[in-house]
Amino acid sequence: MKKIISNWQASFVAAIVIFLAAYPLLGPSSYLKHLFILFFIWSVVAAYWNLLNGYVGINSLGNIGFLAIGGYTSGILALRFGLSPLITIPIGGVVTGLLVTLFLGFPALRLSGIYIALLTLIFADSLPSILTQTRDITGGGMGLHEIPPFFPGMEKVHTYYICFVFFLIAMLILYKVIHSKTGLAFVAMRDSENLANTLGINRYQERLKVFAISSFMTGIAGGFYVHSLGDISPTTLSIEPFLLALAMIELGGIGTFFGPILGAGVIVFGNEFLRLAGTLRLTLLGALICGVILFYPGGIMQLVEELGTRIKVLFNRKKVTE
Amino acid sequence: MLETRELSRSFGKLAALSNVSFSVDKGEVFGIAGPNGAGKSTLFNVITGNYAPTSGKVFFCGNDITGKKPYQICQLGIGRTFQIPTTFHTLSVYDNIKVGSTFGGYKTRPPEEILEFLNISQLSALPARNLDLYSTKLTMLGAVLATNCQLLMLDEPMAGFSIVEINRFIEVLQRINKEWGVTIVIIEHLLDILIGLTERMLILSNGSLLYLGPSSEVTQDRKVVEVYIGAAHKEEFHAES
Repeated sequence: MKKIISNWQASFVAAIVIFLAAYPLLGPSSYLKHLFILFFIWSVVAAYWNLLNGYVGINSLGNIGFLAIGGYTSGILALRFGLSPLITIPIGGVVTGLLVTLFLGFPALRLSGIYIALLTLIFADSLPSILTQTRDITGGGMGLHEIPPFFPGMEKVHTYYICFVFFLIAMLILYKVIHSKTGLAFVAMRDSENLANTLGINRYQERLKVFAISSFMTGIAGGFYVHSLGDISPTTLSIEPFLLALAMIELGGIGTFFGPILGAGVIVFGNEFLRLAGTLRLTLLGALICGVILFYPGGIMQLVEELGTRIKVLFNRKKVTE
Repeated sequence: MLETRELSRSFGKLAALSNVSFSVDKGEVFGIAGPNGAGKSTLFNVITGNYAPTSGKVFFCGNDITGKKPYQICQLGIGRTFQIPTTFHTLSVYDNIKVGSTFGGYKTRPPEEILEFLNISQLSALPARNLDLYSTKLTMLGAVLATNCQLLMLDEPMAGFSIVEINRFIEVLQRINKEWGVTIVIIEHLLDILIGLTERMLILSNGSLLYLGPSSEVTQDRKVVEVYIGAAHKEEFHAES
């Protein structure tokens, strides 16, 4: 069986994790810590979006909606009822999971391809109008503000570590899912649904499962999002975050484990550094995405794999000449 | 083991299958032939739950399985392959077979056993998209065998094979039948191959049963000769034989 993590990749991943764990000790500015927090949350969103799109081949365009439902649920409960985020975040995840499985999972059993994309897009697109018409509860177009943090009186560095741990756990769960029986069924259905059914895979059950997993985890990410940043508004559901999140998956490498994480890194940090370019920011970002897709259709992961094989060849040559 | 009663399936006004009744005994190798568009693949699709029949019933081991879903049919012990060579192209040969072992229902066969039986252990780690036609079809067959099916339905498994590959494949089929006792139903265009491989066969023409009986007598049947060789040459054919 081809291992997803070869040795050099494993050491690289370990180095990155150690770096991320030690990073706040280097005394970075609050702004940089903020960027890392965004990176952790968007990585989770992109990775679980990729589970639907890349691993199962269900073209979902609604995952930002999952994030918003989780975020709003947790935010409202914490703000209006004074509940601890430790309780409201899991509730947000469960609510998201239930709503999405009910409104998207079940109809999606009867749809395929582009029609699922349309359904999920409409789902996410209907949320802003629901939000503006429920001003009393959701804050309408202004959104929710001063949402309490995870603990009273916490600092940025605490938020950093909470989100870091969440990121690690979410990725561990994703890794376990992909390498489980369910993960095998997901990839089999993506490659050939016909053969998968013929070999005993229950299409309905597996499709509901993936919607439930993806929406639950994205809803949880929504909870971490609002309690880290302190606010959420319908702009979260606007076109820019949506396109940026899709770009993370495409840029990093759709259907790969590390792709969306790398993509989230490039987009979150790239987007901020490109603010120096002013109005050209989105143009440059778009050009970068076009360039990667043109030359590396498999995303950054394809580049990484190619570099990996070249390094291996180089090492082998050295051994031979010695 | 397998029985169909008055099985019909229409697509709009087109009757792809009309009133087909036949039965296959346990341990048998049973052949299905017929010209293009005769309804052979439709018959398979109706039996394995890909299409629901318009009317009629399908029985497996005495139980009514009409209208069951493909995954349920698989878990009951009916395996099938497709006319178009199909694999999970991003997965390795091993993982392709593992899908069958994992989801095929009760008491499936481990991938190692299948790889060894089909003599493709050396391909185990290769991604399925890198395989040639013969290995692709063996991998598809292996994944189906891993579900531990009692009845194996093969839809033109040898299309596109060379003579050498055909002979090797027939050997594999005979071993599946003899060593594992798997009942086989096979669709094949080439009558000589089918006559050599099977004891009994049926021939479909325009969705209806044209012939059902011993394979050895199929070439003596006037209707079969008409459909296969054409009415104009009928006299010529009978004069020669």
